[in-house]
Amino acid sequence: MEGSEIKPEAAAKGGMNIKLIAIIVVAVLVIAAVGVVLLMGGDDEPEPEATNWLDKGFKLELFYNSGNDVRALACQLMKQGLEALNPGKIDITTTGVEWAQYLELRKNGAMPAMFLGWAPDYADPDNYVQPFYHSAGTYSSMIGYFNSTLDDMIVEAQGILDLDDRAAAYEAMEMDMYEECVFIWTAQATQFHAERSWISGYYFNPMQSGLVYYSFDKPDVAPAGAPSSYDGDTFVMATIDGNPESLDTAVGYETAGGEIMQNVYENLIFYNGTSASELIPVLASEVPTVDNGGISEDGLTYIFHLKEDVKFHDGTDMTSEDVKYSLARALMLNDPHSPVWMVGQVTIPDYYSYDQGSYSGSENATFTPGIPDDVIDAAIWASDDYTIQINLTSAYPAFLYVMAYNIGGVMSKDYVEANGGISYDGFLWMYNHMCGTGPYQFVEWESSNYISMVRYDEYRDGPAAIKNVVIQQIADAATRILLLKAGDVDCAAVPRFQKADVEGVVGINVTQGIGTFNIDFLGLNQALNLTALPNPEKTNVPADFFADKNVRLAFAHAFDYAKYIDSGLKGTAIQPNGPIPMGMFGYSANIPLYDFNMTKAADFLKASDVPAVDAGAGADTVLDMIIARIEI
Amino acid sequence: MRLLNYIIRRLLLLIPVLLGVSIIVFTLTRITGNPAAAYINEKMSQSQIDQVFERYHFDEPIWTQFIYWLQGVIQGDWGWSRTASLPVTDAILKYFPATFELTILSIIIAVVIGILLGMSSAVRRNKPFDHVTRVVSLIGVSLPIFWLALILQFVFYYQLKWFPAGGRYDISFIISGVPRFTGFLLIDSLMVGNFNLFFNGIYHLILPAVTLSFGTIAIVTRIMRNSMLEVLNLDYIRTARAKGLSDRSVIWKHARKNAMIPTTTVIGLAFGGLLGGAVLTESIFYWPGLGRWSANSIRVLDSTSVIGFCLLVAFIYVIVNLAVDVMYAYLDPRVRLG
Amino acid sequence: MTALGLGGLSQELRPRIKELRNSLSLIRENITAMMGLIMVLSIVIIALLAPVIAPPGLGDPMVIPKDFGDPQPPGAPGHLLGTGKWGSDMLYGLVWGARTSITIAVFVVFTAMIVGIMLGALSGYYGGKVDDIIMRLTDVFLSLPALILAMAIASILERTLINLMLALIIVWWPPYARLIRAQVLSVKENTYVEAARAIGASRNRILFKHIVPNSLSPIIVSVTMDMGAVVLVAAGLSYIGFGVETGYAEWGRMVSDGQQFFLSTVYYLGEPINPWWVVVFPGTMILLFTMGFSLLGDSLRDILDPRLRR
Repeated sequence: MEGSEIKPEAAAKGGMNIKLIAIIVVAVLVIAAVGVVLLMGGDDEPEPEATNWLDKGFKLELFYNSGNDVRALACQLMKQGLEALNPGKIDITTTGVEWAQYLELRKNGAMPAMFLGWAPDYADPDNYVQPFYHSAGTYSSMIGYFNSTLDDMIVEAQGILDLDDRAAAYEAMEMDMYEECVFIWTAQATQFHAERSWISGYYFNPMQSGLVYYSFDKPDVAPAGAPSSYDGDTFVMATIDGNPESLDTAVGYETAGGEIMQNVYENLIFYNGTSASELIPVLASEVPTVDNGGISEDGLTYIFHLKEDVKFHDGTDMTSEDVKYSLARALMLNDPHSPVWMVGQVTIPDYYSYDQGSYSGSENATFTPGIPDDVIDAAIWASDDYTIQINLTSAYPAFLYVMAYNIGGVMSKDYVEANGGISYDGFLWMYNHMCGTGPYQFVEWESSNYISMVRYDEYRDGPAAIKNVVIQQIADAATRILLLKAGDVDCAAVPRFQKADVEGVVGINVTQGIGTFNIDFLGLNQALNLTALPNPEKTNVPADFFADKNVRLAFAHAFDYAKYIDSGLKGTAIQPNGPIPMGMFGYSANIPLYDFNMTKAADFLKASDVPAVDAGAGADTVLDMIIARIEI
Repeated sequence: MRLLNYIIRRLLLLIPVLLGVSIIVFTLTRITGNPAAAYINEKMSQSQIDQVFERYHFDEPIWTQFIYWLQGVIQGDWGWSRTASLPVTDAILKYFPATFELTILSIIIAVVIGILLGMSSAVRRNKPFDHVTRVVSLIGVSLPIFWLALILQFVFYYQLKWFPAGGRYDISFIISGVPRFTGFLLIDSLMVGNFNLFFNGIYHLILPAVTLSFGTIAIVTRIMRNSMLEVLNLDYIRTARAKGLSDRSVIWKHARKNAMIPTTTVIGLAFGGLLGGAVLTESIFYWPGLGRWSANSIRVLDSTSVIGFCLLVAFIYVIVNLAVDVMYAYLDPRVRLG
Repeated sequence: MTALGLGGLSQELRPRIKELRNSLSLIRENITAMMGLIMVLSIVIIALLAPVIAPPGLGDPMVIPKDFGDPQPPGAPGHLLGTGKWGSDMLYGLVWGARTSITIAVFVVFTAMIVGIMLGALSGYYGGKVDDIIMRLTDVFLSLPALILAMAIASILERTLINLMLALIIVWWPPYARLIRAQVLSVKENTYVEAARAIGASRNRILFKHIVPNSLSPIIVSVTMDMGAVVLVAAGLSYIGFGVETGYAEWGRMVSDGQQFFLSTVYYLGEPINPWWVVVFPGTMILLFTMGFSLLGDSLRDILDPRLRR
C-alpha cells in the first residue's frame, strides 16, 4: 500500500490517465524551462589584472528618458561603440526611465551617464553656458562638475556689454571645454515641418514655441485634392500626446502651453520674424536701447514705453499697470518650477533666498507672496500709464531676450482681479483661462484631447486670416501622418525618423534645414553616487570613473555621430561643437568637433587609470546568478 | 421576500470583500516609497504640503494611516492625477462616459453574436459549423487584443478607409461645438438634437467596440453552447418535441430562455475583462476614456492614477457581479436563495 | 515510499502505461488536441534550438541584433523574415522571444499553482478559521480583474521582466486555490484517507501525501489553458510599457516597437512599401502560442470530462 502515490480507488475513478497526461505536459514544459534557463546563461571567466579600463573592461548603465526613441537609439549606438572596444569585457546596459524617476535619480546623482536635450528659454549664450558649466548650473551639478575658474568666466561674460568682447569670451570658454570634454554634444536638430500645401505664411524662428498662427492663411474655397470636410476658416494642427502644464504665464514652462500663450498673450518685445537676435516692439512702442534712452549706460535700468490704445480680449485698455501686474503676479507666486527665475534673478536682490508663495487658512484663503510687494515695487514700477521701468541688480544684456519669453506675456489685470486676483482661486482660474491682447482668443482646453482658439476680431493690426485654430492631440505618429496625407488636418507633428513618409507627397509641403536651438548631449557623471544606483549589478565602475579625462574622451570618440544623425534623425541635425548652437550669438565655428574614431577611443581608454584599490564589484551569489538569468 | 433577504445578505458579504480590496489598494499606495506623493502636486506650496501630511497622518502607525486613507477614499479624495492634471475622482468622472459607451456597446455586440453563435453550435453539435465556431472562438480568446486593434485599424482604416482611425468624433465637430451636459456623447448629442454628431459618434464607436467585444464573444458563445446542450437534454424539452412542436419553436421559445440564464453570469465576469481590454484598445484608437488615461499614467509612472483606476474597477466589478448574481437568482428558480 | 523490486516496478507501471496509451490514443484521435500539441511542441523546439536557428553575437543573447536601418521586408539579404525597428532582425526576435514566453508561462503558472495548491489544500483540509481567512483573501483577489490588478502592482515596481512575472503570480494563484480546496473537500472523505488516518499518519503527511496528489486532476486543464493566457496578459502589459526595453526579444514588445511603422511607409531599394511584417509576425507568434495551449486545454477538458467519455 504505502509506496504508491496513486490509490487504486482514484484510478478507478478515471483519474489515472489524467495524471499521466499531466505528467507528460508538465515534463515537456519543465524540460523546456530548464533547458531555456540553462542555455540562457554564459560562463563567467576570471578577470586578469589590468591597469587601464580598456583591458580591464567595465560594466556601465546608460540612461535616457523613456518615450524618446531618438535618445534610446543614441544609447544603443554608444553601447555598440564602447562594447566594440573590448568585446565581452565592456558591458553597457541601456535603460529608459520616466521623467519623474529621472528627476529622482538625477537628484541623487545615481546615473553614471545619461542622454538628454536642452532647448533655450531666451536667445543668449548665457542660457547655455550657465546650465552646463556653472557650478550651480542644472547639468553641471547633475554630473558633479565644479570649476570655480569657469564660474568666474561665466559670470564675467554675462555682463560684458561690448558684443565682440562678449563673443570672444564665449569662444575662449568653449575652446577650453573642448579639451575638458565634460559633456558629449551629439546633435543640434535642424527644423523639420510638414503642412498641407494650401497653407501659406509659415516661417520658422528657433525661439518660438510651436506655431504663430497670425501669419497663416488658407484658401476659402476647397483647393483640388482637399477632402469634403475642408474648412477654409479653420486650421487644424495634429500634435503629439501630452497636456500643457498650465496656460498661466507665471507657471507654464514647456512648449505645448507656450504655443498657446504665444498666440493669446503678447510681450513688450519679441523676435523679428525668422531672426533669433533682432527684437521688434510689440506692446512697447520701441525696443529700449542705450541710444534711445531706454537702457541706462551702466545697463542697470530698462524703460519700456507702451503703445496706447491696445485692448485686451475683455475690452479693457492695456496700460503699464497690467504689465507691472503680470510680472509682479509671477514673482509673488514665485513657483520654483516656472520660468520666473529668469526675471527674478536679475531684478530681485538675493533672489534665491526667497521662498515660493504659499497659501494658508481654511480653503487656502490667505496668500503669502514668495517675494514681498515692496521688494517687487523697488524693482518694477509703472512710472506713468504708458511707461514701465525695471531695475536690474547687475548688468545683464540678455535681459531683453528674457522679456521676449512667455514669462513676459501681459495679461489683463481687470480680468484676473475679477476672477480671484492674486489668491488661490485666482491662480486656479488662470490655469486654464486666458485674457491677453494677442491675435487669438483662448476658447477651450479639453484635457488630453484638444485646445481651441478663435481669432480676436479687434486685433490692432487687423484680424488674423484664419478664424479657428484647433490643436488636436493624436498620440500615434502614423495616424497623424495619415490624417495629414488625407487633408483632414492642415499640419502635423511628424517625427523626424518618419520623414520619408511625407517627403515628396503631392499636396504636402516639407520645410527643413534651418538649425533649431535644441542641443542633445550625453552627460558623464564625475561624482557617481554608488549607493543610490538603481541597478547596482549593471555598473561596476568607481564613483570617479568619469573624473578621468581619458575616459571621457574615449566615450566622445566611440560615438558614431554620423550614423546617429543619419538613422535617428534622418539627417535633420548637425553635430554641435559645444553647448552654444549654430545660429546663436556667441557660436564660434573655430571650435573643433570630436570625430568617431575607434582607434582614438581605444588609445584614450588605454591611457586611463584603474584605481589601485578595486571598489569591489560584489561577489555573485548563486541566488544572484539565478535571478540574473531569469531576468535576462 | 426571500429574494430581498438574499440581496441583503449578499450586500453584507460585500463588506469584507470591499474592505479587503481597500487593504490591497492601500498596501499598494504605501509601497511606492513616498505615500505623500499621491496628494502633492507641483502647484502646492510648503504649507499646503504640510496640510497634506497633517490630514493623512503619515507619521503615525500604518493602521491609523489606513483609517485616514479610507476616510479620504469614502469622501472622494483619491489623490492627484499627474496625467490628467486633475484630482483622480475628477479625472474618473471626466473619462468615465467615453469608456462606458464603449464597454456597453461591446457587451451588446458580444452578447448578441455570442448567443446566436452558441445556439447555432449547440443545435448543430459536432457538425462542421460547430467545429468552425469552436476554433474561431478559441482564436477569439487567444488573440492579443492590442494586436487585433492594430490589424483592424490597418485593414478598415488604412487599406479600406471604411472607418476612422480613432477618436470619439470628427475634428470638424469641435468648431461647431460639442455639447457636454452628461459627458455621454450619444446622450448629449441627442439632447441638443445634433443627429450628425450622434451618428458620427456611433461611427467612431464601431471599430473599438468590435475589437473589445472579440474575446467576450468567444466566452459567451462557449457558455451559451454548453448550457443550450444541457437544456436540450432536459425532460421538458423532450416533452415539447414529443408534443410535436417544431424544432424552431422549441429552440427559440423554450430552450433559449433557459439556456440564457447561465450566460448572464458570464457577462458579469466578462465586464472585468472588458475594462482590462479597454486599457489596450483605447490607447490604440485614441479613445479619450479611462483606459487611455490609465495607460498614459502607466507610461509616466503616475501610480496614483493607476491605483485609483484599479479601485474604481474593483468597485464596479463587485457591484456588477452582485447585480448579476441577484438577477441569476431571480431568473433561475432552482437557485436556492438560502 | 518503500523501495520496490524490479518486478514490483514493472507491475506498478503496466497499468499506467496502458492508461497512457489509452490517453495518447484519445489525443491522437482528437484533431484539435493534435493541432494544439503540434503548435506547443514546435514553439518549445524553436526555443530550444534558438542558438542554432539564430546564432547570437556577443553580449546578451536576448537583445535582438540590429543595424540601425529602416525596416526591411522579409527576404532582404541576411534577414529571412525582414527587419523591424532600428533594423532589428525579425527572425532572431521571434525565435528568442519563444524563450521569453516559455519562461513567463512556466514560471508564472507553476509558481502560482504551487501557491494555490498550498493555500487551497490547507484551506480545504483544515477548514475553520484557516479556511475562512484563506477563502476571504481569495475572494478579495478574485474581485479584482487580473489584468488591472497586475497593472496596479506593476505600476509601483521597477520595469523588469521578473517584476512583471511577480505581478502576474500575485494575481494568478487565487483560482487555483479555489479549485484545489473544492477538490480536497471531496477527496478527504475517501476511504483511503480514512485508512491512512486510522494507521496514524500525521495530518500534514495525509494532506500532502494522500490528499493533494489525488486532488490535482481538475487543475490540469486550468494550467494548460493558463500557459497561453498568461503569455497573452504579459504581452499586453509589455505592450503598454511594463517589462522589457525596446529591442528585447519579447513578442509583445516587438508589436509595440513595430506599431510606429505599421501604418507608415518605408523605402526599400528605392521603392515605398508598407512594413506590415513588423506587427503581423510577432502578433502571430503570440496567437500561435496562446492558441496552442487553448486547443490543448480545451481538448483535455473534453477528454477528461467523464460525461463525454465513452
